[in-house]
Amino acid sequence: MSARPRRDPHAERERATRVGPSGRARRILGGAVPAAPVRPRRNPHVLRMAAVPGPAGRMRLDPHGGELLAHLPSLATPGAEQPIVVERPACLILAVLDLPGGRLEGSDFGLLAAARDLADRLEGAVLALTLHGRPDLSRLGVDRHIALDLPDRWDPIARLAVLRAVLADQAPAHVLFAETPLLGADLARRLAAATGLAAAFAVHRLEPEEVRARGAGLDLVGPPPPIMTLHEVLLADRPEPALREARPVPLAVEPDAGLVEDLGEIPVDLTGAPLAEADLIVSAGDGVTDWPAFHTLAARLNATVGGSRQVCDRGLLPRDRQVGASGTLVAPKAYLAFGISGAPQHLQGIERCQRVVAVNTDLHAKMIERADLAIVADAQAVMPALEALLERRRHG
Amino acid sequence: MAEIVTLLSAGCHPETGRLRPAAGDAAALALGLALRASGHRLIGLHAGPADDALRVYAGFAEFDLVRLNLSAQADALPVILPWLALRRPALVLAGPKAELGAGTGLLPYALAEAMGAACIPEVAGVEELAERVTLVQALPGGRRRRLAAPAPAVLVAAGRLAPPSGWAYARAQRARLETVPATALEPVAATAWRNEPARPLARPVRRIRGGAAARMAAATSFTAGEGQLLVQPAPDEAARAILAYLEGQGLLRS
Ligand SMILES: Cc1cc2nc3c(=O)[nH]c(=O)nc-3n(C[C@H](O)[C@H](O)[C@H](O)COP(=O)(O)OP(=O)(O)OC[C@H]3O[C@@H](n4cnc5c(N)ncnc54)[C@H](O)[C@@H]3O)c2cc1C
Repeated sequence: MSARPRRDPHAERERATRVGPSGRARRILGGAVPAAPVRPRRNPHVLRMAAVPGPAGRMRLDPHGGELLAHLPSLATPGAEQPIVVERPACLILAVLDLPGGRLEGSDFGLLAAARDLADRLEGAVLALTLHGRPDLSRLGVDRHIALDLPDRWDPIARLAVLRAVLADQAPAHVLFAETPLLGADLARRLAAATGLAAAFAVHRLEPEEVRARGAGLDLVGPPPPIMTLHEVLLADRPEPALREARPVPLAVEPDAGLVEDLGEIPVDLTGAPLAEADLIVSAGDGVTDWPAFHTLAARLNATVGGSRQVCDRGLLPRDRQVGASGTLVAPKAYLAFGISGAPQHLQGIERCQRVVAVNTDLHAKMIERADLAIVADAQAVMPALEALLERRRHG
Repeated sequence: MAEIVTLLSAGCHPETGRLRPAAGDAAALALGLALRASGHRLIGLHAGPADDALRVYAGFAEFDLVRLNLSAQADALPVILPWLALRRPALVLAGPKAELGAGTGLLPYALAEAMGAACIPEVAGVEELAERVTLVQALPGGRRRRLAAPAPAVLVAAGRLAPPSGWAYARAQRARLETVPATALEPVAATAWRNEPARPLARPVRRIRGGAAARMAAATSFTAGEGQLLVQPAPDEAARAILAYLEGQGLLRS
């Protein structure tokens, strides 16, 4: 608080006003006005500077000089964000994440978001089951987490055994999967066949009262069954990033070896694979002149070859390699674009790519703007350098 | 030589609604015909009310066709199971999903469960069939994996597999079908599920949570790429950045 006198123009005017002989109010100008009492001036910044973080992490003001905040125990301890805890859930929603390779994919986020929504509306808790590794799920809406480390080979029987153990142990009200081939879609059907529980596959509307599952040209409508797989339209969402406890839940299970034996991946040349299916694409545009280097790089990465319309028009790549609005709409995990300017028609084709790496000499190319990793350099220099690096890596 | 049964369901063209060979079942038939070429016996099995649904498959090749006479509403599994138990085939082939009705893709799994056999989805080819069956499974992104399982096994063809080549109308008309009477079980009364016309799918959306502030931030911030930018790096440095990036995504295969 500062002691600088504060003028109050309204009070000053009042004091200077007298009733004149005619009965009208008259203002006395100059001199004879009695001095005002000094009212201290308030400095609003002082109050602001004394703000302390509250329980939710926001800054709180205390107009009473810190007295109030000191008396509130939860407010007095600023610092770590407290996780949301669901102590007595009405039910458990089990979300089964397969995570081959231990990585969370887009569909896993969507699955957790849908599970969180359903749990919130049923006042339940989300139980996540991960079969390969223990990713941190505390900011993905997960209350409980069972993490296992199954071997990497494909063994549906072992997964089914794990799932049955979880069902026996935790008795979740609903089990959710993503409708992804070989992962969620496969496991959900195995579980439905093995347990005889009701199931809905490719659910595209999920409400606590009613679900809509996509059949062959029709919708199956009914109350949410115990087993559900979610259609991809429900999987684009992300859960709210609020901190939750993701409490580790132990599970004792010894899955025995199943009937199916995994003999390992077969090396296949993917450079000519259908573009729509590819999960790694190297793509060439007009900026590529060193075609042998481009093709050697694609072969070394075992990536599928794509190109812009410009190069397909000129016959440098076959027409079925064209990416874009009038070619193939691609959805790989990574798209490597060499010397592509990023015309709107081309960008339309790569809308659903998860990661884009662009190499272009033009800093202002649209492709550079779109890319997650943008490299302003000559493609003819980068391609052989990358190829040489891969070669060195392979030989140790 | 072993016996192979391929399950053939009534197909339906999604636009015209006309009868056709179901795409998934035609893919399974392609696997079966490839096995027949190496000397195994192939039987096409259909459970349904009409010969025509089965006849369209005969246009692909000449092979044995059996129809279990069943009403369109009845559940196929309880009639297929005893028939298979009598024949004891070494392999059962199926498509991933039916083109009429619920189309859940559950039947092969339920069949395998009842037979005590392995069910393997996304099969792209069968390499060897004896005591064990060695097969190739299609993985996402065009990759392939080799698996082995004891026979009998239920194999579900990969959806993207091509149908057998060469369909002939005359061959389909000439085909002789064997019809087996089947006693359907009464359908289980009134399940909670009802069929409705398919609604258009909603657009996949990412909802913005966390109130007005989060919505404002999402609307005003530019989030096209994650945005790591290297300007005129040495080629080697650029290559290392790309490599690290791909490695982080688990996309390096060699
Ligand atoms: C109706 C219609 C449909 C179309 N459909 C498609 C489609 O489906 N797919 C499609 O791709 N296009 C399509 N196009 C064409 C599209 O508009 C563009 O013309 C095309 O995508 C441009 O291809 P580009 O990027 O290879 O070539 P350019 O636009 O010529 O770009 C070449 C880029 O390479 C860079 N460059 C040059 N030298 C080097 C170097 N040494 N190292 C690195 N970078 C270098 C340049 O900076 C430039 O950015 C369509 C057009 C129309 C009208």
